[in-house]
Amino acid sequence: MNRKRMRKLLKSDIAFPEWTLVLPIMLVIIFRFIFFSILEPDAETVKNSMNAPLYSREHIDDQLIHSVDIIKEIPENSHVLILVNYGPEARFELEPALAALITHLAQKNISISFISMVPTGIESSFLASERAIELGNIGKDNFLYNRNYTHLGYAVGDSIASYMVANDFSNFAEKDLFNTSAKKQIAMEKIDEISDYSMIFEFSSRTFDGLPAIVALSFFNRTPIKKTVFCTTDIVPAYIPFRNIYLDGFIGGYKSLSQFKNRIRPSEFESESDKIFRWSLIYVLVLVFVSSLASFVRGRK
Amino acid sequence: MNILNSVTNITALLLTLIVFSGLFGRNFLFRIAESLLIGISAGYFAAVLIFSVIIPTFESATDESQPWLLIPILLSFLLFLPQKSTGAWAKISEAVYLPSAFILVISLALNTPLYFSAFLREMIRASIVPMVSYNADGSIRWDLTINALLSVISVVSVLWFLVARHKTGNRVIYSVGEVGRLFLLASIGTVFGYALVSRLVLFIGRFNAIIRLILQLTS
Repeated sequence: MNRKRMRKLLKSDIAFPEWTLVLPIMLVIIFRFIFFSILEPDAETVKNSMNAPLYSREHIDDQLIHSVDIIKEIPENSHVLILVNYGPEARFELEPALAALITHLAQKNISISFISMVPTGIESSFLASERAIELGNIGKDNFLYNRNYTHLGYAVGDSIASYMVANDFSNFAEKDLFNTSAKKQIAMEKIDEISDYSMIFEFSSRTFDGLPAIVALSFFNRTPIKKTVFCTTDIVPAYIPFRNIYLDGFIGGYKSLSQFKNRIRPSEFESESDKIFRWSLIYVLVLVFVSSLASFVRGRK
Repeated sequence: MNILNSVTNITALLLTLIVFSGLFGRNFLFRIAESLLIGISAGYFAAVLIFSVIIPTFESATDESQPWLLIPILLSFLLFLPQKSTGAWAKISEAVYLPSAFILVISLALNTPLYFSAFLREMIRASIVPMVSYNADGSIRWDLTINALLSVISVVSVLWFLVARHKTGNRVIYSVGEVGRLFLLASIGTVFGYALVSRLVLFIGRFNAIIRLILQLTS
């Protein structure tokens, strides 16, 4: 870059032209698709990938390991509650992790009850279930609505909804999303109170009245049920203060979500693309940081 | 791939490309996609609310003899009261605020103890107790200890900043307040960084979907 162009660039309002932000990401993704779609992993590579210890390949933080361990400890044939509080805006981040979790639970014959506190969460829970059936090799006949999972509907009212689910669960869970009696469903057998669940999960991309739904739920119902949260990157700061108080497991942000997915369902063989995406994000963050530093050096407020 | 899947995928692909065309300025197609999104969202939300909230509540009220469940539904009709600023109707039309006031009061009643407990008591306790953490071998665990110290310094300095920003005459008070400003800016920067990364993940995800769809359709 010649001095004249450098001077012009420094005088401009932005530290770098816009293309520096978008073009490398585009190239990386196009490269990933051209390269990896031609070189599909063979069975032996997938098998080796599944057998290789994940610690040796990349750093995994203690919190993720702990979260995976407590999920693996859920007893077979028990019941779990999953709050699906995200819509299409967080589908790319959360759906693979939710599908991986559903597959894991279905294989252990653990019944799932979904509740959504956002209207779009209803669709998200069914899409993730379909993805789990497609990718998880469970088989459509082995994962059925009413028998293996149910949706208890849309809980309206933000913190009022949390209060209702926490304190008046038997009344709330009387009917499912399709207005049929939930009590008669196999997936809801022996479930009268929220304390009958082995674990509560929340997949979230937003807070309710400024607080995470699971925090409100924990506050309104002090029964010691294990709780694990999966949240999108933008909502991580809202959960961090509470992770040691109300949460037993916490998986937040794209990196942790993809690591969780690869750890619990390594056969999907998406770790390479996840790595590329993560590097793209790091590149953008570095670019933003250097850009801000350049603005600071130039004395712009 | 069946026909329905193909149609869905092609529609998704076209709409995504149209939305991305908004990056080069608002155009006719972008405005159509924008209107579609708003219309479909409103329709979807209305359908969910009607079929999963209003109808079940109405059925419970009539079938299970719980007429008090009808009160919130009846109250919601107050939102449709015509607004008049003069005459006798003006007082009556103020009832339009009644449902919102009801929700506000209930939310306040639930959230006040919740905020006090979650944000003030539990969060501060978890951040600073214990102030000095130890490893199993008795040595100080520096990461948690520094975290606790930083928590105290950040809370105190931010509170100080709120007072000191008006005391420009006193250099000491003002300088300590600037530390608070630094913490405040760092936290805003972090939130911005997280939000940016999340949006980029969304963008990459959509881009990923486009290429996957093109590969599926062309293969």
